[in-house]
Amino acid sequence: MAQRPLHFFVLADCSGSMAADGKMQALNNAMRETIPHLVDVADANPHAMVLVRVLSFSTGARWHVGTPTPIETFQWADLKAEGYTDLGAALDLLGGELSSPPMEERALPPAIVLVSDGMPTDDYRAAYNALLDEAWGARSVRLAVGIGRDADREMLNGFVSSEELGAVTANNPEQLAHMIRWASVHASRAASTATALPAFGPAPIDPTQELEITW
Amino acid sequence: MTSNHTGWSVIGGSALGGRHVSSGAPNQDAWVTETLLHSGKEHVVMAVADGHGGPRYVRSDVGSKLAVAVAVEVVRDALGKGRLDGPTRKVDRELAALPSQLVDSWSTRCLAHLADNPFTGEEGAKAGASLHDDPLLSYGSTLLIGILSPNRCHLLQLGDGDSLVAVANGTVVQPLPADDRLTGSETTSLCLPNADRDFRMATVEQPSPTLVLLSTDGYGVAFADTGWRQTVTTDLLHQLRTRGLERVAESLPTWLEESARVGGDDATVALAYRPKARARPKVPSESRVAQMIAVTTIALLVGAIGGWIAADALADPVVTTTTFAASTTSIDATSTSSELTTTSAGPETTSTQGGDVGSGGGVAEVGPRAGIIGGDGVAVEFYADPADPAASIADASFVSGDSSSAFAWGSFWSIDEGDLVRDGESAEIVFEPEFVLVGVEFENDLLWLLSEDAEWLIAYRRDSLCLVFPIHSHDGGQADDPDVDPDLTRPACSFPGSDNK
Repeated sequence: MAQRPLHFFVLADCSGSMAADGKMQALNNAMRETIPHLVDVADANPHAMVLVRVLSFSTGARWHVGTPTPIETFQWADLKAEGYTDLGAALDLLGGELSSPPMEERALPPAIVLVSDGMPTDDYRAAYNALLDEAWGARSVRLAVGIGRDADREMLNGFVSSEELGAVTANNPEQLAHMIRWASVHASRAASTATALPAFGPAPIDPTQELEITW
Repeated sequence: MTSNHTGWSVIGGSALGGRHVSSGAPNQDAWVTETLLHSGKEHVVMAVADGHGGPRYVRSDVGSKLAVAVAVEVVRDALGKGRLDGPTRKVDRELAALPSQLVDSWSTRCLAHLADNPFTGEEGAKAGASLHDDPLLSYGSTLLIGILSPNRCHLLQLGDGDSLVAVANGTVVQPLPADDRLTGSETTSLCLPNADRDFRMATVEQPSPTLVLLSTDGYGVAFADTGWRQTVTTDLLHQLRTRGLERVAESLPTWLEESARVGGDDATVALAYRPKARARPKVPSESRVAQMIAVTTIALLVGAIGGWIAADALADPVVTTTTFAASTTSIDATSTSSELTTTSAGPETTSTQGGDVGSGGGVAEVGPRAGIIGGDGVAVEFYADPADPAASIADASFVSGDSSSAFAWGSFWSIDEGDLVRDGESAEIVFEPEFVLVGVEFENDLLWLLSEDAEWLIAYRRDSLCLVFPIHSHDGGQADDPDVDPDLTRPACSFPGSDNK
């Protein structure tokens, strides 16, 4: 016997624009800070084994962490920014992993967090529809974090699996850490405990930071 | 535990899921078994149900209890009206009418419960949604039923969970067609509009079942092994044979608690065991031969579901599947949402497995006879695949009589309590002595028989006796199986005129 696998995917935008204004480094820092919180989620759900994978997309897409890695041993390796925003390529790769197999029959619904600062440069809609055609894709818990004013709100809102919730936005490094932590924890918690996603995004962390718009 | 003179004994149990232990939620599973008497014959009905776990389903623990109670009532009513008597084809038609009665009765009982126990404010707050718009959603549950009649085993299943059958030779069968909608936490349900059409149904006639296992999904999800249905059922059968039913019944709570703790969900099992399968006719007529190989599946399911056999990895006997058009509506059993996913209704379709079994959900029609081997009260008939007139004997199906039956697609078969293992040009037979065993070497048109007293192994070629081997000792059985006589040994065999050495 074994815990049920909960596959947690991070889809990280590594396009060239992420290199500007420290966004890439802020994303790396935010993910590093999020890991202990995901460990807490796993600890609170002893029947679930949280397994992390990371997809980066820029010009094309590639697995930054392709092996499902238990959150307890997961370590974040920094991503680098360059190239386009080929989200569709990332969704294609993800869709392949959400087929059954390789998805286990006994798995919990997968949790997916998309982080992006710009407009997709390929035809992501076809890939997204294909993803939703996969049984596990349709059942996935999806949240999205937009970075800065240039993020594609329509795309990000369409990605989120809860229509009433929509994507959340970060305008500075502190907000990004807050939003990524919130999205990661809630997506994985909802997937592992059969609870609904919250109806609203995270509460403001600090009024002064809310006002600070870096991106 | 219940037992009766049909030979079936039923045990079962349920364990509170680890997630419910921490949240304080009740066990939302239920199970029941009852022996029903009809026309002097006993029938066993067993059922398990899994009430949905999401916050929206505030009364699913009641819904599952009502579901298993209704199962017994509906089966009792069907038996009382003689609807489960008669030829397989007729009974299958009657079975197809049961789901609508089950759903109607369950809905009526739930609404009666609601009338006596109106929703509370606490329940409304817990659900986070209006409970009154569709009150039956609050009672949502799956339902799995086994009806063990003297000569047939009927399975009905709505939603997730597992209905597994082992026949006497240890082969594990998953007779119900797969349902692609049962992914993640989503399941079909009694509380959905098309529930009656979402039932999957099967009748298993021969080979005679020796073990029927119904379980909620909380039992299966704890097993990491993707082939758990095969391994767990095989292990259960072995434990039943070696340790006995009472010892297994003693262990069952511990096993269920382990599943519930590791998997997190409530885990429930109802298990029926019959040590000795029913005897078969000495020499089957052609129509009887057809019946012997009929394992009929009726699926009130989703035409869109193309993959109808649930577990390709399992060794399936002949299965005939009749699939009726149905809507494809599923529900997320754990979601707070009551959103439904509906796809287009599929056309009526019919599928068969094994090539030479007729469609229509009744008695199978076998193909043209390709050869006969007989002698000393043994009748064996080979049938070529009617879909392929050029099929060689190696592709034929195979049926034998004389208190044994066999099924073979390709070049392998096993039978009753025995187990035939082929290894290149030799074959090994592991058996229990009170059964006649039959093996086939299709390539050489050879037939192997084991005398009922287990003292002679006989090899037949077409229309002629080839060799008789005395059996003196045994080294091929399972050492810890007390049913195997330790003095018996696998003989070294060679066949004149064949390549086997």
